[in-house]
Parts: sequence; structure tokens; C-alpha cells
Amino acid sequence: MTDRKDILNELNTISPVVAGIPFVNVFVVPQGYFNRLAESIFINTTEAENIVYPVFEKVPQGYFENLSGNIMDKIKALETCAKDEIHTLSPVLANIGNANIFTVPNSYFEHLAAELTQKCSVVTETEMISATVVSIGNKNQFTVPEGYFNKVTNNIISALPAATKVVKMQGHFRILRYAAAAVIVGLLGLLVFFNLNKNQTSVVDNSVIANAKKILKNNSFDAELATLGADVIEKYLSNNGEDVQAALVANSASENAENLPDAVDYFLDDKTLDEFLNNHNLNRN
Amino acid sequence: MKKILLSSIFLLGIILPLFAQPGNDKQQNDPSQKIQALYIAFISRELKLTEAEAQKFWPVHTEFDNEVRAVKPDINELERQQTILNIKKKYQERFIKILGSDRTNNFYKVDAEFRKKLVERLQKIRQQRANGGKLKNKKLNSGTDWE
Repeated sequence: MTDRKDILNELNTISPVVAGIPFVNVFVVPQGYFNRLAESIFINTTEAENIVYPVFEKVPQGYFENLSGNIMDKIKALETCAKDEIHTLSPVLANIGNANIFTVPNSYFEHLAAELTQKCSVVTETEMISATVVSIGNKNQFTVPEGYFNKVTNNIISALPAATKVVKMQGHFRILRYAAAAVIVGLLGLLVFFNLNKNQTSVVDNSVIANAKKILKNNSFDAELATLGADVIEKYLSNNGEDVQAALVANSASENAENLPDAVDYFLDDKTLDEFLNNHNLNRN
Repeated sequence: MKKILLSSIFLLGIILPLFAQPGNDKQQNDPSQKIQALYIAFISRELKLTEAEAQKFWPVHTEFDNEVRAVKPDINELERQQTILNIKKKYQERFIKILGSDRTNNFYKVDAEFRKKLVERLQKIRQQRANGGKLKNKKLNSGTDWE
């Protein structure tokens, strides 16, 4: 309840008019308002724009029954007008009337070919086009002498020029062949070599594993560690991202925590750090 | 063609061992391989790796190690450490699948411990050298005094 009062107070400060509206639904319309809405809008609009709508009289009785007949009568009346119009435009067309003009005499197409050949001879047409073709007549021009195809291969071979001289490959070509083979082998070898190297980087070498097993079996870790040289250790640590010098200082500091110089000593003597490093063999110089 | 093929095989037979031989020698004589063997022995002992676990663990470790080694040492130190940490996170799941979470955590400690052992060994060698040098100097100095 207090919330509602607070909201009302706040609303009062913002808009007293809105706050003054009683708790009544303002969105109410009279009963049947929407049923008469369209009609009342229509009446208001026509009155406002002074629109006069035509008043349709009632259709005479039997109007639609006789409608098609009336239309046909009107068309017929127009047809006579059309005939007159065609007559004035083209008397020839008007004379044709309704007769089918696309007719041929009986069995026209059966005799058409014969009539055409009678009228125009092929020979005379060919003569007009090519006198040479006419001179050939009906003689078969595609004949060959007897046994022509039996002899044709031999005739062609005999007509060919003399056989080309075959030149034998000299010795140096053989050497070239071996050189080419050597190059191929070399490339193959390099390919295999690089592949082997690639594999070695992804798999631990068997000899290393065997050595590790041996160390474990003999329990000789400390003994083996003692055989390592300084250079090897430095190289290994560097390769593994270790700052060797920093690691040595850190190790020495942790081992000799009690012997570390006091903070005051660094202020009193510049060489305190150098001395400490020298005493523990950590100075680079 | 047959001759070329035969000669190719013959030459391949000669060349391949030539390529292979230096690699083997390198593996046998490379001192870093010895440290690698010590590392494997140390990790296997400390993590108590079984044969089956070792067979799964070392190939993954080699991949991990290659990535860590590929991080450039000359970049900003913080950036370098972050890159290595990211690699460790990337391999964490794979290591856990093989070792379990406890031993995976232990692996990083044991790894650091091995490096510490190497550093200690290096420090010892340097101290021995320095002491040797001092003794030598002492002897020389005492010699001149005596004379």
C-alpha cells in the first residue's frame, strides 16, 4: 500500500493532471458503437463532401431474360452496316462473300508431280547449271582398275623415299642417363632424410629410452649426473629457455640465504654485490 | 628403363646409409641425449610411470617439449612466461588423461626439480674450478715466497 502511495505522490509531482484522473477505464465506448461506426462515418463523409450518388432504378420485369436476344438483334443490325463498309473499302473482298477460296480441284496433288516434270525437264535444268555434269551422263565415274586395292600398299611403299638413317646413341648419352638417375636418387634420398629427421623430433629416440631404463635399473642417476660437464649442462639449460646465470644466482641465494649481505651493506659499499657474486663464483667477468 | 631403375636402386642403397650414419653417431655421442636419458629416468622414477603410461606419456611430452623449446628466448620475459603457461594449459588435459590430475601437477614440480639439480651440478663444477684455480695460485704464490 505504501508503494502505491509513493507512486501516486511521484506521479503528482510529475503530472498533476494525470494523477487527478480517477481510477476509471477511460477507454470505454457506448454499447453497439462499433456496429454503427461504418454507417455513421459514411454519412458524415458524404455530407462533408457533398457527394451525390446516382439513384438506381429497378430493372424492368423480364429484362435479363430478353437481354441476350436484344444484344443479338443489335449485332445483326450492325452486320448489314459492316457489309456496306467492306463494300466501300474493297469491292473485291466484298464479292468473295462467305465462299472458301482455299480449295483445289479434285485429285490436284496426285497429278501435280507429273505435271511439273512435263513442264520442266531435269536435263534442261542441269544444262543450265553445269554443262560438264550433263556430258558425264549416266556413266559410273567411281570405278578403279581391276586389282587396284591389292597393289595399292606396295605402290605406296615403293613411292616412299629411302629409309631414314638410324643414328646410334653415343657413350656420353649413357653417362647422361646415369647422371639423371643419380639426381633422382639424390632427391629421393634427401626426401627420406628429411622425413626421418622430422620423425625424430616427434618421437623419443629408442637409444635414449634404453639409456633411461638402464639408469633406472642400476639406480645410477646421481652417478650419471656427476659425469656431466658444465658446457653440456649450460647448453641444455639454454636450449630449454633457462637463463643460466639467473638460475645460478637464484640457486646460490637460496642455498646461502644466511650469508646474503644486509640491505645496508649495498648502500655502504658499491662492490657488495660483486663481492658476493665473486665469492660464489657467479660473476660473469 | 630397366637399367635406369636398377642403377637408381643401387645408388639409393649407397646414399641412404650415408645419410643415416651421421645421425646414429650423433645420437650416440650427443651429450644432450645423455641429459635427455637422465631426464626421462628422473621423471619416470619420481612420477612412478608404468610401462604403459610411459608409452603414452613420452610422445605427448615430446610434442609439449618441442613447443616450449620453440618459444623465442629473446622476447619479453613476461610474454615468454605467458606463452609457456598457455602451452602447459593446452597440454594439461592430455597429461591428465594419462597421469591423472595429481601426478600432472607433480610433473611440473619434478620437471623444475630436475633443472634445479642441473643448476646445482653446474654450480658445483664452477666452484671446483674456482677452488682449483685458487689452489693453483696459492701454490704458485707460495713457491715464489719460498724461493
